Amino acid sequence: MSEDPSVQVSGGAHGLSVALEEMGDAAAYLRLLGPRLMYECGYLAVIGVHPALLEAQAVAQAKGVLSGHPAQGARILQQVLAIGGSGARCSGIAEAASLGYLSLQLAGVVALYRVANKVAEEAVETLRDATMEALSHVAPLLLLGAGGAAVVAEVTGADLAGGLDEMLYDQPWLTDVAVGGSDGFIRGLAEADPRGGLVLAAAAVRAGVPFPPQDAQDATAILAEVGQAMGGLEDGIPDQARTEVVSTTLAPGPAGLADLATTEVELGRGPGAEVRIVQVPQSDGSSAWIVQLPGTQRWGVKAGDNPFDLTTDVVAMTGAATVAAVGTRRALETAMARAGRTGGSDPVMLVGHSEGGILAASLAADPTFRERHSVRAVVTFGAPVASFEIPRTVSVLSVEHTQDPVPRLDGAENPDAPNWTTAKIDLGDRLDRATASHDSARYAESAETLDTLIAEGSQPSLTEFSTAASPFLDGAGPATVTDVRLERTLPHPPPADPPAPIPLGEADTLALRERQQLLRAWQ
Amino acid sequence: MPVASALEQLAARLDATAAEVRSVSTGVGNTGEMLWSGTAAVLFRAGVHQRRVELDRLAAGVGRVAGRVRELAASMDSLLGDDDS
Repeated sequence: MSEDPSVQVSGGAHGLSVALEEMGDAAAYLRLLGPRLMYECGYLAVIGVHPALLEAQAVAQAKGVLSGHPAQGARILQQVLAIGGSGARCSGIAEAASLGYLSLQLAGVVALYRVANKVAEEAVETLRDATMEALSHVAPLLLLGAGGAAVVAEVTGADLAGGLDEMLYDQPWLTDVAVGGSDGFIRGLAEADPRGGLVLAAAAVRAGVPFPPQDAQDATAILAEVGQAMGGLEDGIPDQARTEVVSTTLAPGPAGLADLATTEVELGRGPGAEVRIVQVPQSDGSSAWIVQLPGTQRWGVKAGDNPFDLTTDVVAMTGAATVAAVGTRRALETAMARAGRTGGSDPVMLVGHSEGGILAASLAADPTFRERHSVRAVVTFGAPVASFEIPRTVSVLSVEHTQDPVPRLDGAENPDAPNWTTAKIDLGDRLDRATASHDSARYAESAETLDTLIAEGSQPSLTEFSTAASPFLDGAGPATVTDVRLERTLPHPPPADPPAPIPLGEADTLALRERQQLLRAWQ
Repeated sequence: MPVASALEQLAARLDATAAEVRSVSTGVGNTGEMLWSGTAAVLFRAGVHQRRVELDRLAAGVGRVAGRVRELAASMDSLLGDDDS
C-alpha cells in the first residue's frame, strides 16, 4: 500500500467531522463503561469479608485442630487471608475513575475543537472582507492601473494576463481572498461611490438578497443582476429548454473515475451543448443512470443558444434554476423513456467538469429533481460546489487541483461531511499556468491516480465513495450511451433578418454632398 | 451450604467479574477504533490504550484470585474429606 503525497483527501466516511462525531460517541461509550466497572470493583472490594471465605477460615481453624492437622489448617488460613488481600488490592476503583476522567477529557476536546474551528473560520472571513473592502476604495486607481497595463501590453507585447495566470498557479490562495471577500468588495464599492451604492442596492432588491451582501453567494447574485441590467447574463426561461437526441450507441460501461473524466474531455471537445446519459444495466434487471455534463463552452457575457455558457455559470452559482439544469433533466427522462424505464427508483449519478460540476451539484441539491429521481452520487471535477446543500443520502466526490482557481470561486471549502469526500491533487511544477490546471484532460490524469488509490485501498474515504458508486462503475456489460443536445430559447431573440436600410431622401443626399465638399475643402 | 461448594461459587463469580472487566476493556478498545484521525484523537488513542492495558491487568488479577479460591476449595475438600460440614 502506498500513499501519494500530492493527493490530499478530506471529508467523507473517514473525514474530520466523522472523527469528531466518533470522538463524541467514544466519550459517551466510555461514560457507560465506567458504572459497569464500578459495580464489579465494589464486589472485589468486599471479597475479603465474603461469607464463603469467612466460613472457610473458621472451618479450617476448627477442623485443623480437631483432626490433628494444625499445619494444614494454618496453610488454609494463610490462603484465605491472601485471597482477601488480593481482592482488596485489585479493586480497580481507581481504574473506573480514570475511565470517567478520560471520557470527560474526550468530550471536552471535541467541544473545544468545534469552537476553535468556528472562531478560526470567522477570523479568516473577517480578514478577507477587510482586505477586499480596502481594495474596493482604490478601485478607480486599479482600473487606471489595468488600463495602463493594457497600454503597456499593447506597446511592449507583454503578456500581462499570462502573468496573472502564472501568479495564480503559484499562489492559488489569491483566488480565495478575492472571492471570499467579494461581499466586502461590494460593500466597499457602495461606500466609495454612493451612486454605485444605489445601483448595487437596487440590484440586491431585484435579486432578493440582503444589502449589504452577507456572503459570497449574495454578492454573486447582485453582480448577476447588474450584469443582466447591462444586457448580459440573461438566462432563458428554464421551462422552455429544448432537447434533441443526437445519437444512441452501445459501449462498455465506465469502470472508474478516469472513464468518467475522459467522457468529460470528449464532451468538452465535441460539437457543444451536449450532455451524455449512460444507462448501466444491473444484475437484477434494473438500470443505473449516469448523467455527464460538460464545462463552460461559451464565455461571452451575452447568452446564446448553447446553455453551457458564462450566463449559466453565474445564474447556477446563485442557486436559481437554469435552462441547462432543466434541459439536463429532460435529457435524462427522454433517455429513460426510450429505454422503457419510468418512475424514480433507478439510481442516478451526476457527473460534471467545471460548469458541469456546478449543474450536477445544483440538481442534487434541488428537492424537485430528487423527488423525480433517486440521486445516489455526484462526481465533480474542478467545480465550485461548496455552497450547494446536498443531502447526506447522496455520496459526493469533488476532485480539485490545488492550483485550479475555479473550484475556489465560491469562496468556501467543501463541507467535511460523512457523504462528501474532497480529493485535492497538487500538480507541483508539472504545469505553470492556473488555467492549464483547470483543463479536463489534466483532471482525467488525476482521476487515474485516484483510481489507483482506490484499488490500493490506501484512502478509506475514497474507498467508501467507490463502494457507494459501484452500481454505476462496475464496467461490466455494454451500456447504452445517449447524447442529447440542449438549446436555450432566448427571452429576447435577435431578429431573424437584419432590418432593411432606410432609403436616403433627396434632402439627405444633398446634405451628404455638402459635407463631402466641405471635407475636401478643409483637407 | 458446604464450604467447598460456596468457594466454587465464589470462584465462578470471580471468573464472571474477570470476564466483565475484559468486556469493559474490549469496549475501551473499541472506542480507540472509533477515534479515527486528528491530533486529539492520537492523544486519546494513547489514553484509551493505557486504560485498556490496566483493565486487562485487572482482569488477569481477578482471574488469578478465582484460581486461588479454587485451590482453596480443593484444600478444603482434602481437609474435610467426605465430611463437608
